[in-house]
Amino acid sequence: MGDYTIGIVTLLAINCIAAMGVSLFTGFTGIFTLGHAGYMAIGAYTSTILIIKLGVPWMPAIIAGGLAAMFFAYLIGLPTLKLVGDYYTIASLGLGEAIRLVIENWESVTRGARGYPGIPHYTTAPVAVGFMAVLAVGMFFLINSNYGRAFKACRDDYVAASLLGFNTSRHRVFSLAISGFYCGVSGSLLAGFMSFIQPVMFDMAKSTELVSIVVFGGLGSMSGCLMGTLILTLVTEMFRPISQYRMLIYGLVLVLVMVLRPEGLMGANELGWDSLKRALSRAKALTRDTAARFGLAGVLIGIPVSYCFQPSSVRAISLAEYLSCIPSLMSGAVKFGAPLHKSVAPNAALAVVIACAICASFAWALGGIIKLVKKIDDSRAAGRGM
Amino acid sequence: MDACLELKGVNKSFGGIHAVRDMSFSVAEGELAGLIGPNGAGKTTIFNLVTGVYDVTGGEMEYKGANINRLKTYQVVALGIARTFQNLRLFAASSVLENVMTAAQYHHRYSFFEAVSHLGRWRGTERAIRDESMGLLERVGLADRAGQPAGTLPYGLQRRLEIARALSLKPSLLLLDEPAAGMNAEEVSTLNDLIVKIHEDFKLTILLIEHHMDMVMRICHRVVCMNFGALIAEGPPRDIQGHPEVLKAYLGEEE
Ligand SMILES: Nc1ncnc2c1ncn2[C@@H]1O[C@H](COP(=O)(O)OP(=O)(O)O)[C@@H](O)[C@H]1O
Ligand SMILES: [Mg+2]
Repeated sequence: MGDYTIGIVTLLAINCIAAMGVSLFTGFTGIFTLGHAGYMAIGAYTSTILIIKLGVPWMPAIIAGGLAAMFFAYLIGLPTLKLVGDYYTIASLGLGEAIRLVIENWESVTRGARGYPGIPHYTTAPVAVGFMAVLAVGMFFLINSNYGRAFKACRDDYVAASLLGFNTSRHRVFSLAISGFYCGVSGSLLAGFMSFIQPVMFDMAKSTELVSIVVFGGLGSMSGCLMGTLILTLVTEMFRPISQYRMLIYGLVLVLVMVLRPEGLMGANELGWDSLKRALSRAKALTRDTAARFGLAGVLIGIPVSYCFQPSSVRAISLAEYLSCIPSLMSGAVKFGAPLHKSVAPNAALAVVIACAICASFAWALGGIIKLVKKIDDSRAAGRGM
Repeated sequence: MDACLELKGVNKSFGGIHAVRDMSFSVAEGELAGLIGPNGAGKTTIFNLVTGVYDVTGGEMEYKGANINRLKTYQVVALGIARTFQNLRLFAASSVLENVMTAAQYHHRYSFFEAVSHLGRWRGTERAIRDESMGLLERVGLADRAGQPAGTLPYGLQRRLEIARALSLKPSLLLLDEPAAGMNAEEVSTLNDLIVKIHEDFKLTILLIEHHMDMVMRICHRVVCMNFGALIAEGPPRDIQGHPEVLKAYLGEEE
């Protein structure tokens, strides 16, 4: 594998850890958050300062980063999670930004907005993937235990939960603390991966990204969270040439999910034989749907169309050229972190996606109209038969 | 007999609405008592006060001689009080079994580290919780539906599930809020048998809210009747049935 692939895998693992934390708090405990990047920042800066200023080895520093974020989350949760989660959601809006601003202005310790350079590159792919594996197993186990049931009970009906003996506010704070730990570890790993941290890396956009992943994957599904991370991280990577529109694409993806599948990719189900079978039967049912058939045809038409017309704005290239780019990306000919817009591949990919989407939506709409006309005809026929 | 639950001059108002006025009554240890009254009489509010969902505006509530006025909902459970809800409050998306297990774990604890590692007491305790929950589901006749999402059960069965869930807390006082609502005559009669049976087998004290008089008359030892938030009659079912105030309250409603 080339550097680029290894970089992507590492980044995936790091994002995944933070997303699991948010999934526990938002998906399983039912409290929306828009400030979890703040906990990542606390983890990142804690471990960085420990390593550079105090010479602590990286392994304990990562754990310390997680614990610092956990402690901070606990302190914030105590007053804001007393009654129901809504207060926390509002507080979290300001919280993430507040943490960022403190880091930006506390220059003597954090070196301010210009960032903290010179962090040793301790987050290799095995380290990141190892952390992710251990934390994922821990999270799966936690969800399938008394704590998991307690969190879900507090989420689904906090009155009923409290009358089953759960101190619901304590459980909410506990859930937030654990999710803070996950985000703190993720931030620490990110610091060691980038070798450089800066407050803007943990801004509102990062918090939104984390929540988007969890909503996209399905609230209350850990495997959905893993899949959400995978898809959204790769989509982000694909659209890197137009990174200034990244938030727009995130918004678009979220709106699409909410319209087409409000419960997210997985809903509250975990990946397993049952959910696979259900997805297959759904897909089968879709092929019998006129509108969906047209949509599929649209996608198939979209691929050649995107190559034939090659709109100059996206500078589409030939299929052969596009495919030939992939091995060079994978083998590391294009370094991870190097500006990708110099390579043509993502532009071509973008062209395909856009053309497919346009063709599919036109075809889908056409299918819908045909279905409607048929229905009207049918009802007329039925009317005559009477 | 000792009083299990005793209310002394309890008041509750919501802004201008005086939902409970000066209610005083007691439920003796081991009794199966009924709380009746027309819609809006304040019965559910009494349950909400006893279980700490609302704070009392005035008066005293005692459970086995100890004041429970200021207790939080989860502290009430520790004393041995469990309840069901008139407007079902099941975890609708979770399975029937998981609903009961969520409550049954109250008496089976293991630590956080055992939970994240699935080591130590995790396996044995989870099995105990599961077995106990399945046992309770068998008691209420839901064992064959254990894997189904609770929200997909018919209403009558959801009410039984609420009873099973409350029982898994091993209460000594069980508060049932209109457990027969929405059931047909046959279902009501099997529910009656179930309530009488669990009352005996679990050595419970039960306070049962019921809107329909006949069910209460059949199974309760003693009946408390209220209207407009106040007590209007109290005594054995036979006396209550012919009580002029009670008749007036119920007839008044039908007009
Ligand atoms: N949370 C609340 N806020 C305002 N009014 C309430 C509330 N709960 C109950 N009430 C009022 O108290 C009265 C008694 O209600 P309730 O106890 O539910 O009657 P029921 O005897 O039918 O169970 C009703 O008039 C109801 O509107
Ligand atoms: Mg009621």
